[in-house]
Amino acid sequence: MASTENARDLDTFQGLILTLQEYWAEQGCILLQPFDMQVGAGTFHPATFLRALGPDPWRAAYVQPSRRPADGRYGDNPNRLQHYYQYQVVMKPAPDHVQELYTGSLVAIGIDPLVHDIRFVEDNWESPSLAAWGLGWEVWLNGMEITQFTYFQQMGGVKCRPVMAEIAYGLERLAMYLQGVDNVFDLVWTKAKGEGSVRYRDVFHASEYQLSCYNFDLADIDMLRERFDSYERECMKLSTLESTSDDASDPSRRDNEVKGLSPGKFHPYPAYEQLLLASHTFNLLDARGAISVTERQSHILRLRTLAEGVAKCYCLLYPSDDDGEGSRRGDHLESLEHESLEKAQESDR
Amino acid sequence: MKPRTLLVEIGTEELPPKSLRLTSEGFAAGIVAELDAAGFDHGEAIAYATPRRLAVRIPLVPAVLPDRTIEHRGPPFDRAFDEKGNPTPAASGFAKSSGVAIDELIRIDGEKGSWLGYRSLQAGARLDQSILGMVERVLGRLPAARRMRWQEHEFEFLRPIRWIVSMHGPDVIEGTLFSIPCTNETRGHRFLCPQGPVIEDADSYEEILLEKGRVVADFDKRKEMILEQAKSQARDAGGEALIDPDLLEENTALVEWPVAIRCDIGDLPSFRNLPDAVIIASMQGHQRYFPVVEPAAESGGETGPLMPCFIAISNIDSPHPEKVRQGNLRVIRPRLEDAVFFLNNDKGRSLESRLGDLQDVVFHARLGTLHDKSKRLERLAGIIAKRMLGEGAGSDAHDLEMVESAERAGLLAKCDLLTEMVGEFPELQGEMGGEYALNDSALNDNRPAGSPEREAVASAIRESYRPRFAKDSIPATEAGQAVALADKLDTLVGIFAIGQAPKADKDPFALRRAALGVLRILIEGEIDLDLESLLIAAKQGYPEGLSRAPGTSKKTANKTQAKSGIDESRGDGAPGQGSDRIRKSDPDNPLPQLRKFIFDRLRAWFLDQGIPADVFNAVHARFEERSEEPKRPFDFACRVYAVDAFRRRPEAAALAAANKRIRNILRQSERPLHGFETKPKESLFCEPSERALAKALDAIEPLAMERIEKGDYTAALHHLASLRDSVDSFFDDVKVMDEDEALRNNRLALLGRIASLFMETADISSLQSTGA
Repeated sequence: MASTENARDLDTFQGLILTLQEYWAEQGCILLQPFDMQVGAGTFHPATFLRALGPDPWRAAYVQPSRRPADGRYGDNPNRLQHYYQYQVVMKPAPDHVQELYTGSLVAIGIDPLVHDIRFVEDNWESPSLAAWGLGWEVWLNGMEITQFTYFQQMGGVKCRPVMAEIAYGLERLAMYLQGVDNVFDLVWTKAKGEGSVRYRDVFHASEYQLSCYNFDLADIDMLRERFDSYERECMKLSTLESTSDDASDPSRRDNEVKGLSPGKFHPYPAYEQLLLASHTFNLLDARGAISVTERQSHILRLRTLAEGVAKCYCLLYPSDDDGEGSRRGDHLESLEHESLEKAQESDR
Repeated sequence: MKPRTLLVEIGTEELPPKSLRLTSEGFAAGIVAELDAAGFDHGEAIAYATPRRLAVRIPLVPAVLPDRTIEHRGPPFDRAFDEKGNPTPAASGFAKSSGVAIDELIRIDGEKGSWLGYRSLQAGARLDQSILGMVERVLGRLPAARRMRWQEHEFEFLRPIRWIVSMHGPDVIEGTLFSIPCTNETRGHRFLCPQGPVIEDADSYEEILLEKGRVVADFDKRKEMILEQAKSQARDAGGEALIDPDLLEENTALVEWPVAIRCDIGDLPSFRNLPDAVIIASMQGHQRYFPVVEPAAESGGETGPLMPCFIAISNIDSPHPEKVRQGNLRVIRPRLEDAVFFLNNDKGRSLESRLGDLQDVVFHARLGTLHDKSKRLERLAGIIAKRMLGEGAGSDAHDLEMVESAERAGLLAKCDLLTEMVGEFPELQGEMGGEYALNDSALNDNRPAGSPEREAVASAIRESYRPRFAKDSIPATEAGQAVALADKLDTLVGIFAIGQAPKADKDPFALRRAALGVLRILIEGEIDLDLESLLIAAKQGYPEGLSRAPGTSKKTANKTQAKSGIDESRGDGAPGQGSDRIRKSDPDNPLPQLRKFIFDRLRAWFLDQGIPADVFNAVHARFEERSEEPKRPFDFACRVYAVDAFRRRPEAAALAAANKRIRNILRQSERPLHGFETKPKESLFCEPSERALAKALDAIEPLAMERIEKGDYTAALHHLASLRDSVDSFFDDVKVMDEDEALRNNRLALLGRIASLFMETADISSLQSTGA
């Protein structure tokens, strides 16, 4: 018993995580584990990006290690890290009282909303490289942003319906607040029995330093460029809806492609993983200062094209478990066309 | 039943704060318009708005409109029955199609005859059956930057709608809207009152929310509370709260139960080492804090120096306010430390050393990089500075230095865009450039590039974006004015040249603001330069052939031009500008269109200053009369201000009337209103009052003309005002259109001189708003 209490001690980093896990499990979320690839945020986990698409209900919660190579500071800065943790909750469709569920989680981690000033301050989310956007807030705790709350409206260029709500806690920041420390490396990870506490510094300082060196100074730019191109090719191969141009003349083959009825052709999950690799590679190139302004635009556009391809494939392949496939496919294609029309109008503006 | 108060409250998740007031006003006005259209009487609507609700309370709305009798006319009565009294086919056909038995049809007498027909009673519209439809339409029409869907619904709003209260007096208007049943149960403060309260009567909405719900529903009352609290908290610290009006509005839209909390930073090195502008940006920007400054009286300046504290507006009456305070202090410290980090990094390089890097930053795909722009600004700011000094000046040391400062500041004005500080706080553009320019001069000389920048250059860079908003001041220094003009003119000319002039509500390059900025600098800076020649000078900074889109055929280019030609002619009522017309068809010359665009800002700007439209029109008419376009904004403004002063004089009404009379007489006899050459002959005067008028005119004309030539139109009109009595006597005593042609022409010549003289400044005859 004693050890469980220790685990849930909100004065420790792991106690915070365990408390959130428990709270959201009670709200009907499946507790997933982190996605095993380098991603920039919890949103990139397939449990969010892909599950935001299509009609099926979905509730999940997980910790996601997140990489932002350009944010590294060689372990010198008390607030900035190139690797940090997000706690991510997604609910589709989000229940009426999803905001209250969220504020309930704050109470669970010991923040009394009658004492502290908790507010939802407009902050809309847009990711040009994912062709995605949503409306929502950053949540303030006494003026400090501790959570991003977003209702996804579009993912990979596809309209989200029903709408998924995403709740993304910045775990380090929240823990720093709860523990009253000003330096992230001073966070207590756990109070091990009989021994001294284990701190964030003990776990991550060395890797922060070494990875900052790699991200900023050592990563091989040419190699990264080549990789970006390869990941892009691989992603396209697995997700492009149009037939390869050589086969366009073959009418029977083309017919198949256009209808999108040869599921064997498309593999949105591996395609998506290639997109994630390309995305992280882009972030590394950016941290290395190897991306000019115009190049940045074109790379974002290339990533966006991949994201749109993956999202389309996913919608075609996983329309719904509980409905006739044909009709659902039709629905989705319709909504795809609708979205791309909207997009065209937007870009017109 | 007596009319009662209607209440509609839309409960939402937290709405976007910057547009909350507009959203709320749109909602209330929309409901009122719907009621009006449906014929419901009502009292004055009161709008409420908080982060979580839009509400409107409208007194004296009837529950039901009176029933209405409707007449249905069939065939004329005399053709409804035959001689035997039987219905004709027309009559029976009408009865059949209306579903009324023939013997129930009646005779309806009208002014133009009688008809067979019937009357039916139409039940009056019921409020409870109409209101929800109205609400739905109004919400659908509200202006919104972005709308969203939620759950599985297809409808959209700014944020999810979670509850709806609709009441008429004490009664709930039942129904369902957006899948939500309407009730009398609102929701109070998110945490202070998580459930209810119930609104007992539409009239008690505000009180119940305040007392039970812990919500101040009225936007303006809440705003007043915040203002009072912020001021008093600042006073307690011995300072004054620095309250930006937009930030006050935003804070009002972010809380339902405002509690101001003063947070003292203490002696923080980062606070000491940062320029005030940076600290203010850190406080106001993301955190929405009100900074505190030392009282202005003690420091003597506009605002005193910053004090090490700020005021946060919280949304809770916390039993432990120190926790809220500590939390906010924890946020600001790292932000200020970040800013110090940026400042120190930025100061490691001179501004000039960043010029080359600007080659990588695109100003506009078709207008080159920011490096290109910097080069253009160097040139144009220099040209403008020289013109500002005028013909005679330019040789003494001070003048030379002003021109050099303008050129140098023009060249360096965009360099701070590449600094980390401006990356973090875009609103500090210009400000940081000035800061860093001073640093360049303060530091040692062994930096690789960049000579020390003088104070004048630093000020000019600092001022180069001014005026940034409506109430912002124009640059204070001459060099700053030159650079600010150059920057705006360069953008205006460039964007117009590539055919991207603003359309309707789309102005992505903020060209309207730039245009108004140009006008304000010229007018308030008293810079009497010709706008057209400035535009030409700006245009010459760009390469030739800018208007043709790269890679498009000539045909397409012409098409684009033709389109903008249509746009121009729409608002362009002045005919007879032969030379302009020809130039407009030249695809390489957007300048006439641009000049008109800039001048179009003037009318609204003067209106904003309380100068009536007819004053502007009187001045404008002076140019139209000569088929001229006004070209010198400062000169134009001098005339406007002179006429505005004139219209308040006791003589104004009489002289405006006299001018109108003169104008009509001259028009009838087909004489021009200005440039009247023929001088009246002394010998042909026969009435004493025409002789007196001529004499008065002789005395005044040289005085007035002297003033006009100096651009002192106020003094000129002051002289002309003294003509009032002689003009009045003239019209009392003299018949202008005398039968004797010589006498007549002589009198017309006299009137022509008067009209001409007034017309030198403005067309006084069109003044209507005379009197103070």
